[in-house]
Amino acid sequence: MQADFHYYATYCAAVLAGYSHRDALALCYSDQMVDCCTKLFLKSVSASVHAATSQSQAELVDMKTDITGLQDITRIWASFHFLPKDLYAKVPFSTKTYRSKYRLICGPNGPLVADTVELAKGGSLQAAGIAMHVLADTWAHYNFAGTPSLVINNTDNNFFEITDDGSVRPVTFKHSPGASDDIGNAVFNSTLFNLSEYSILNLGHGHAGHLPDYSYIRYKYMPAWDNYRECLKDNPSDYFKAFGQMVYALKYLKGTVGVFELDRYDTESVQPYENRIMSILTKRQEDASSDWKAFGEELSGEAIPDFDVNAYVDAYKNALPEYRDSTFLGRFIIAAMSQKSMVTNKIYKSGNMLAGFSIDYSKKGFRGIRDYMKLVKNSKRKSA
Amino acid sequence: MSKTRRVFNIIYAVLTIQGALILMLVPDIAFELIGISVGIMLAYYGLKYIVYYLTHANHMVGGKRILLIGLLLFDFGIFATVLYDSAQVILVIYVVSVHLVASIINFVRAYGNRKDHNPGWAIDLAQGIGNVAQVVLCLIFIKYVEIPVFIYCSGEIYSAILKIIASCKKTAIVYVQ
Repeated sequence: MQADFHYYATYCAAVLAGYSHRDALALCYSDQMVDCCTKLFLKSVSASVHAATSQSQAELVDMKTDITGLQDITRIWASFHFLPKDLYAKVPFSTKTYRSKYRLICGPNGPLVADTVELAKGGSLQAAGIAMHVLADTWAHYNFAGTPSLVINNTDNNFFEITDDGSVRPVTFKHSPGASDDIGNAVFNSTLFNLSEYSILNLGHGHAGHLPDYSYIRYKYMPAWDNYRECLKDNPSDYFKAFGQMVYALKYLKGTVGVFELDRYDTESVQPYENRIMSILTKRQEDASSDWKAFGEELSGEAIPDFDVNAYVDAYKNALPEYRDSTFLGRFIIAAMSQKSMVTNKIYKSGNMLAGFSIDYSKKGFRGIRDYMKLVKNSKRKSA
Repeated sequence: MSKTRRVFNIIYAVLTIQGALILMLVPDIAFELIGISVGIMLAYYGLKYIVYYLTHANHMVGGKRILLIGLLLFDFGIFATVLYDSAQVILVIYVVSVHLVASIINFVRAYGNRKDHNPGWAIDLAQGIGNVAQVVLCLIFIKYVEIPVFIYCSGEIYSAILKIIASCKKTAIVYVQ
């Protein structure tokens, strides 16, 4: 998903869930910030690089894919963009290493989605925004894993777009970094085939280009791991479900709904706008920001400012060190570390080492990466 | 990274440094040894792909290609090992291609990092220039035994040092409920 959904559509979902214009803006800002909070950004504001929620292309190229590097990559991408659906999935006749990767395949309505929403419950608006990003991406990125793996994330030439009249046309992939997609002729940019299992080119949905990120497209292809079964990906329908689930989750976080259950979508608030939302989702365009923005402004009657990655940087940098965690960006950083810590812990506890070690503070005290002391301090502040 | 793996990585890295230093002292013998090693390494990669097919790629759509590549590499490796008396050519080709690819990657990284205003671009650029310099040295002194051996061994020492640094990094993440 892109800024159109993570920023503007999240704003719409927040307004429909009953949040004020100001809170909805904080929420959608945090949602979109997940795609921008790279190590480079964190270094520029003198914050801990361990709070990174994304990696730029340059950072990825720079990354060493040794064990520690791979674990770092997996922590970032599995925690925020490719939330694993089933950490205990059974794979007959497979080795442990293959099984570990298979279990990181992303999908909607997995137990970790509920854990993510529960983690944000009672927390900051920034935590809610991060949770919405993670939840929405489970719909866009399903069938791919947030760890470099050829055998999971590869796709072959068997890729077809299903057009509005139901006919099928082949999708062509080119490999020119930085080049734009030609959606009119179904020519898309994707990453180059690389034979190395752990190459950074085999991370996430790179081989399928930006297709999972476009809301209008319906396509079919063969996921590398699914035993030659064809997968039909209906993005408009999936994105609509994501929107309904976001509204429902946000109502839960706000306290309007008492319980968060998987596979439940808000129909009450969304239904009156179904045609409008579907018309945005099915419109053939790379970026639906202007349509979502217009819809959001109609819903709230307020103007939605464009996303500015540096909007809260000065407040964070100018705050005294002891007050930095209370600023907008400070709260985002704590929420991000908390989400990363939770997902890493769940992966580790499932016997899967791909995201690295996780230490339960309540059982073993503090060890490991010192920057995570921030979480301990925050937890103590909360309970005090 | 587990403690055992950290220890093994450090032991492996120390042995690599020692081995490289010894080879630098006896370049004439080193040439043949490295030539045979390159052949064995190719065969090793071939076997690695075959094992990769059996453990991973047999589940993948189109995974049989990997089995084929593994068999071919294994075959080339065995063939190269037999031709160890042409070690000079094998070593020069190996060193030149490795450093050429590395330099291209360094320049791409430097370009991307500079675009993103990351100060690390200068290091990438320097590494890229260093790699190109090694390629040029190899080609100029193609008839001399010492230069490719020295370059190959320096690369091994550099990788071993990076391995030690990576093994000493803290990696565990704390989970607070």
